[in-house]
Amino acid sequence: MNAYSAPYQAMHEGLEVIWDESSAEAVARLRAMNEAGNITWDLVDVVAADAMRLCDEGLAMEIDHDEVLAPAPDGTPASEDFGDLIVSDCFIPQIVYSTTFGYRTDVEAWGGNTPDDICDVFDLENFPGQRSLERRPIGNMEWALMCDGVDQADVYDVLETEEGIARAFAVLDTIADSTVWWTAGADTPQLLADGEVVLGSTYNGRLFSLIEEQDQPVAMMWDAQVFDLDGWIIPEGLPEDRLARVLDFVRFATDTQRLADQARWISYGPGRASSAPLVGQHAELGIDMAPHMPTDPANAQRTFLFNYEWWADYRDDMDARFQAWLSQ
Amino acid sequence: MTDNTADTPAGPVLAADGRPLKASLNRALRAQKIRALLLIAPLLLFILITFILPIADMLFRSVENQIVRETLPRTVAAMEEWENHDEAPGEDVYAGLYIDLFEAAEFRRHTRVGSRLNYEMTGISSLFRQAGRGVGRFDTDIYTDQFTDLDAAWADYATWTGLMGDSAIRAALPETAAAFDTWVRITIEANEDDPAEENIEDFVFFSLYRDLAGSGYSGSNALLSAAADAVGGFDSISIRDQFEDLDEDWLNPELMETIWVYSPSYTPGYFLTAIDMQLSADGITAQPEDRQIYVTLFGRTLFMSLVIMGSCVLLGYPIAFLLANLPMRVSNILMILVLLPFWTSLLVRTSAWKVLLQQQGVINDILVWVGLVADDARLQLINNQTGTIIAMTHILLPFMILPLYSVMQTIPPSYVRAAKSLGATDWTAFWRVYFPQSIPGIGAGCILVFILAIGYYITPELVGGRTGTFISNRIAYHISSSLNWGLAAALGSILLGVVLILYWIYDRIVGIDNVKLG
Amino acid sequence: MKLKTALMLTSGAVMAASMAHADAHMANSMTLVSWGGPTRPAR
Repeated sequence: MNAYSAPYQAMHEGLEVIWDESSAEAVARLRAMNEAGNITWDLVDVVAADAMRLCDEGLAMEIDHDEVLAPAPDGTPASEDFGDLIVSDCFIPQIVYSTTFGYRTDVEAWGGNTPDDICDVFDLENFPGQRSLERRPIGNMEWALMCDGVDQADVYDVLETEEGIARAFAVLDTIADSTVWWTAGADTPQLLADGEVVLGSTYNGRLFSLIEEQDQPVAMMWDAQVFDLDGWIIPEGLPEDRLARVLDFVRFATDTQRLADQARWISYGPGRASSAPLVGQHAELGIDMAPHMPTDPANAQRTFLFNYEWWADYRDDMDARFQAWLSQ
Repeated sequence: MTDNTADTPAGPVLAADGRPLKASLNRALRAQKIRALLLIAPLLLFILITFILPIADMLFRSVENQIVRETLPRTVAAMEEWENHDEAPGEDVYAGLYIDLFEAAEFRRHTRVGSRLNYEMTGISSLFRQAGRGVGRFDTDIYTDQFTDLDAAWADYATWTGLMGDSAIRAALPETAAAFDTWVRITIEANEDDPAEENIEDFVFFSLYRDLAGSGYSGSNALLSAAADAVGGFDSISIRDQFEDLDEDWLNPELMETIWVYSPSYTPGYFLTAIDMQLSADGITAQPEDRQIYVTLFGRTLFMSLVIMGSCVLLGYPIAFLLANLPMRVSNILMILVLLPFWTSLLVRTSAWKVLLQQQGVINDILVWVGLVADDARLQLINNQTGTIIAMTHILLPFMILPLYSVMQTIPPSYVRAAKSLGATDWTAFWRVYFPQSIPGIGAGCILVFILAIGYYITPELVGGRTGTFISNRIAYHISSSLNWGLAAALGSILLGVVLILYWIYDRIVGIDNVKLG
Repeated sequence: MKLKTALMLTSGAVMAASMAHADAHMANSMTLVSWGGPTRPAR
């Protein structure tokens, strides 16, 4: 946030920027605003899946990326610079982040071993101790199946069958009693710092601040990290003058330099290919940020991207099953 | 009624100004009533807007289901004729679906229906999304080509407005007229173009073909008669096959059945889901076992609220007793201690409980240090029901103490003294004399705590873990994440109903008049 | 009656002023919605 609005405000005197930290319920709020016919938000930061839903429901504005966004410094049009990350016509990608695992480095019971494979999460024998996983099916189901011998490419096909779902739950069953289920991104870092859990999933940027900024005895396990995207959408139905102002801001905030700058604060990969070479050092710690990026080749040996389409269909059904399974 | 005699003047009694007394009295009373109403108008409006209307809206949303009928009107109408529900319906339904989806896609409404129906059958969401792109590429352009080859006038907007201005022709070609109107609406409203400058879409010609091939044309319009004679020789396509090419799931009778079952404007579907049932082709059935959750959650919410209420009574009663009976100076300090948590943020208090209760937390540390618990068998006090009950008891305790305290303060100490002087032991004096008089306070505290607890949301979410979450957590999920507002409304309505029933039972047993807040 | 009129007038004036202020404020500000907390994707 420091990377965008402060320099922009410096350029536009008298403009007040109000931050509303409501991205978590953005879809519901935008739908309510749309029903009430009064859009009070100008620009919304959401994850890719939410952007697609908003676009589907006609709550977000479709844009022409090449027209709205600045080209790369070498003249490459925006749509090529962002490439595949433009997952929806409404979505303006900002960053690539990942959901990955952190573990404590001082667990005596592990006998000097450290987890380096996603299946170690489900291995209570060699890696005893409490885990933390997110309280929703997305991500967990895929990991469970991958550790049940399913090929990464077939995960979603298997998950479509009753048998596949049963298999995934059977794997989750093995650790259910020693798992804390988190709902907020800050939970796992806190639990790891307290020693309450020894291994837990969360967003990679959170783990970065825990490890580098707060200096806790925690390390990252990058195996099978799940990439996700975060970016802007512009609400549908803004009046002309506000729209013009927002477009001006978005053009500025998503240019190559600005996206590279945000990586000086937290280890999230910039959405533009042209920003990557510009990623420098942390603003305060002075360490190189590149090796902490989820997209760094050393970290990205085995990764996967959510199948957004699949989850759009199966989210309701899978969530009902997951919650029923949880509250047994 | 009254006999009219010559010397008694007929009619009602008159007031001083000559109007009938009754009317004048009524006027005065009405004025008074209006003035009284005006006085409470702000409050009344406030309650109406912030309380009654939202509840009414919630009740309405829990059964409302107009979206299917509004977005797919032709499909639903054509489905009336669908007889054998074990097989996919015929051409007519798909013809309606084609135009409905085309229109919905232009207005970007098709995915909303898709998400709505996806709650009932997994996979519909992407079928609709895909179809929104697909219907524009159907091969129906062969009709456009054949009609315009027959007579170039068919491509003219003026030809169409001429034909469609004639009510006899409209009556003879009902589908075409409706399709043409739809096209005009799409062009003007969704694309903001001038219909006169646009090419007429294929689906209008498709409808024209269906009308002419179906019932012919017997009117006097030359252009139409020529077309009606020619359609027999036209090449045609099956729109059903077009849908099959798009995705063979479109011919799945189960899918069409789902659309049909959820086509009425009002549905009990949400309520059924909220009690782990479902509305399917075979009527009302139970949800598969691995999806049943809501009844368990309702039961758990009620049970845990009762436990929380009980522990509040157990803990709150002695404190309230002390508050009421200690000397003023001490009880004031105690009172501040009771109220202090009130002034602390709910989130802070809940997080504090996390720090205290977790396995590496303060309480476990002390127990291990004392030696009551082994280091590798630390107690699981949080992220389960215990955690929720402890944290919520603490948070709701003041709501029990305050009414208890204010009731106890009104109990004259002389009664207990009198009992004792008559030979009662301390316990008998308390149990037989003091306690019965404090019951109205317990009643008030219980109902406050219970009703607050039943709707609690943040605390169970944070410390509830797997087994300590409430129904309100699911409601919040459906409001903000799954966007299934209908289901959230149904769950909320049921919760409201349960509370009202419990209140009624409570009134029956305890009597609401016996409850005192002071 | 005078008091009432005065009250009505003041409240009307306050309302008009606050609406004008809100409008001016809206014209001059941009509402951006973000994730809470120090790091962004915080749910």
